[in-house]
Amino acid sequence: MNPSDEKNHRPKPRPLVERADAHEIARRQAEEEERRGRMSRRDFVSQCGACLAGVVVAAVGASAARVIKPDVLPEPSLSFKVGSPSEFTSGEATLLPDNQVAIFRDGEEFWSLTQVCTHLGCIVAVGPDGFHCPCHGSHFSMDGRVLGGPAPRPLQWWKLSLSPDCQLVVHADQEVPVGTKFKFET
Amino acid sequence: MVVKPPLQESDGKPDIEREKPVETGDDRGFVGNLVQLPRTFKESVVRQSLPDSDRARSQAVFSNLWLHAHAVRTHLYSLRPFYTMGLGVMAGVLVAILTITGLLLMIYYQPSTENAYRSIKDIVYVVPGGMFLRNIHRWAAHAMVIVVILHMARVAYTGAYKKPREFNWVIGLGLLVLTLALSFTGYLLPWDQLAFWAITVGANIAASPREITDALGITSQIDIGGLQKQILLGAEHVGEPALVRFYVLHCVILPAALFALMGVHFWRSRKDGGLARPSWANRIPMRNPFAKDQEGQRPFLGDSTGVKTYGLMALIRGRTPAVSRAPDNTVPSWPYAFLAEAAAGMVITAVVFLLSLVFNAPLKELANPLIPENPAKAPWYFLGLQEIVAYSAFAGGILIPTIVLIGLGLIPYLDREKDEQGIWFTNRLGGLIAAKSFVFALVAAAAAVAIPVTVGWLRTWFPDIPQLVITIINPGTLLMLVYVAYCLLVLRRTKSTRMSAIALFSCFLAGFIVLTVVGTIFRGPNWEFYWSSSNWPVH
Ligand code: HEM
Ligand code: FES
Repeated sequence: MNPSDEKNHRPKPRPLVERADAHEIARRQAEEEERRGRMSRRDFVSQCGACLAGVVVAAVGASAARVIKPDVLPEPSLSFKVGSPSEFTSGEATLLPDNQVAIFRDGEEFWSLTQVCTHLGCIVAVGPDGFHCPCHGSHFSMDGRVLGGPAPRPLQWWKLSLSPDCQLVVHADQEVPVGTKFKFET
Repeated sequence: MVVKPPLQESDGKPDIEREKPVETGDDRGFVGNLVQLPRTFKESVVRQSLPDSDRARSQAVFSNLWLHAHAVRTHLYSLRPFYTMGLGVMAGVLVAILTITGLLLMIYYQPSTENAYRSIKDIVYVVPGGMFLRNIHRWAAHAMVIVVILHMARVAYTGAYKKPREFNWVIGLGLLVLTLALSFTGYLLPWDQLAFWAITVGANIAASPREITDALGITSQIDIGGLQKQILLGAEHVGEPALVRFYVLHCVILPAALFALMGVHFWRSRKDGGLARPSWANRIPMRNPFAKDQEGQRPFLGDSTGVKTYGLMALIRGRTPAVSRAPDNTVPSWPYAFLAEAAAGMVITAVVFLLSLVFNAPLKELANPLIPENPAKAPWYFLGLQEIVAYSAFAGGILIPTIVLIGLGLIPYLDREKDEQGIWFTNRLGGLIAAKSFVFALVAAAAAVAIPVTVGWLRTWFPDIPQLVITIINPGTLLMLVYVAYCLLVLRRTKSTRMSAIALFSCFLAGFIVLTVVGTIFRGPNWEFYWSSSNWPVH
């Protein structure tokens, strides 16, 4: 398309007598551009502006939303010493309510189960036939398997280790498969 | 250029300036002004004296920021006491009561695990009137839940959600959610045993998508549940960060959202032409119940011909019947609508005050993260949820509530029949269906509770059944499916979406009531079923 061509296509500006204001003129120009299949400069600039505003709002929103999830959670250490292995009676469950775990010993074998119900986080109580949750009635066997109620999975088994000063350490953040027992000399 | 001829003879001043009365003689010198101060001050605050004619009262409503939330005139149909029962107004008044008492409580309450419980004790035992204050706040919150649900029932059963009010219904659902969220967050603040364990359970419901991700084995990659819980608690357990978060939500964020939505709710119901009403109310002249003529008869509204004559000021575009072609069945909002609202407000205020005089808001022992309450019960309006949560945390706590909300929200978009609005149950058939489906839903919900209580559920028979199966097939989800099937049946039988919507709402209401009653009255220690709490084992 040559420039003179374009000139011929542009309609003569209409006289201003009909109270046409600047906005009206711009609108007509835009219509003209649109007819020729081109985005008018005015539309282009305003759409860029709208996009920019959108991006800014989204970015501000996203960074504000990020604030509500802390990077470090204010939790007490989830590994704790529970005493010397010899303090635990073989064949019995020892409940440590402060740490919300139960420690089991069978000769040289030790294992530990959480006391936090896997349903919605209440603390289970021990009974002759396993653990019972007071909140919605989940029932677990002594080795933590679900016997009834809404609990979706067994009570977690935690990793155990021996500290340099020969204390039993529960790692209440490291789950081990159900049935994993640890051997320690006592 | 065309020059417009001036409309009037001009004395050089713009029109507005000319109209203003020139006030002369108001300046009485220093002493005179001082003497006149009470009067001039009062006049500067309220520009009119107390209006003494309908026109002046309309003007007053129109030009006052607070009053102009109302139209200048109110349709008589909206004022029928047994139409709305004033429930929406009551909800609004309860929000006001809760705001005032809440602000007063904030003066003493300290959101820290160290002091929260003690500061509540101070409020109850040391602060003058503190116990009463706390009672009011507590019972008003409970009343609010009831009133909002009843208000929703009235809107549903009178078909007032229909076009053009569809979106106001959706906003109403938002208000319902906010009402429940405010109750939930407020529940933690006393930091007693009930609070601690109810919120522990609630926060773990937020984490319950793990039930699905665990079953799919993808929790270590995308742990939506864990993320939700961390955002809610700011930690893994309910502690100081959770208390602060709940405090901010309860005292700032949620109330702000509530006020904003309420503003939109009122604004829209105003712009939709006031309350929904049947078309006859716009065609047939109604008698004015507030006046008597010489023969002691109730006269027709409007002028002697019963025809609308008032001017533009009282018109809302497109909604009011055309001037001088339809009867004018409206009365001035001041005083009639205001009196009706004041009456509703006074009734609910009296109820809340009486409750607060007689019953004290409970306060258990200090929160103990080591020993749960047994049974650990949420506030009553969540016990229906707790009942279905006791089948599956994810299904009961997230899946079913979400589907119920979406289902309710869709009602006005799926029921677009042009029935008369503003009539309870629409017609006789509607009344029948509402009652029948209510009874059906009661029985179905009772069965849903009775089956697991008496014969058990899948896990009783197949101990190794995968959790995913229970999450999908449990008494809660089945009950919901039965309700949906019932409503589809009603739809097929009656060929009416309106009748089906009535059935759906009855199912929702009956299900909510049964599950709530069971959770509140019939569940004891270990969430076991007891006919009465006197049968609870002693421990
Ligand atoms: C904080 C809670 C709420 C407040 C303060 C509130 C307040 C009000 C008020 C004052 C009215 C005027 C009519 C009347 O008194 O009945 C109204 C109408 C309405 N409300 Fe609500 N409401 C709330 C919750 C809800 C809920 C939960 C729904 C339904 C899901 C809802 C849906 C509607 C609809 C559709 C109307 C228009 C009804 C008509 O025009 O006849 N509102 N609301
Ligand atoms: S929290 Fe244990 S059964 Fe619900």
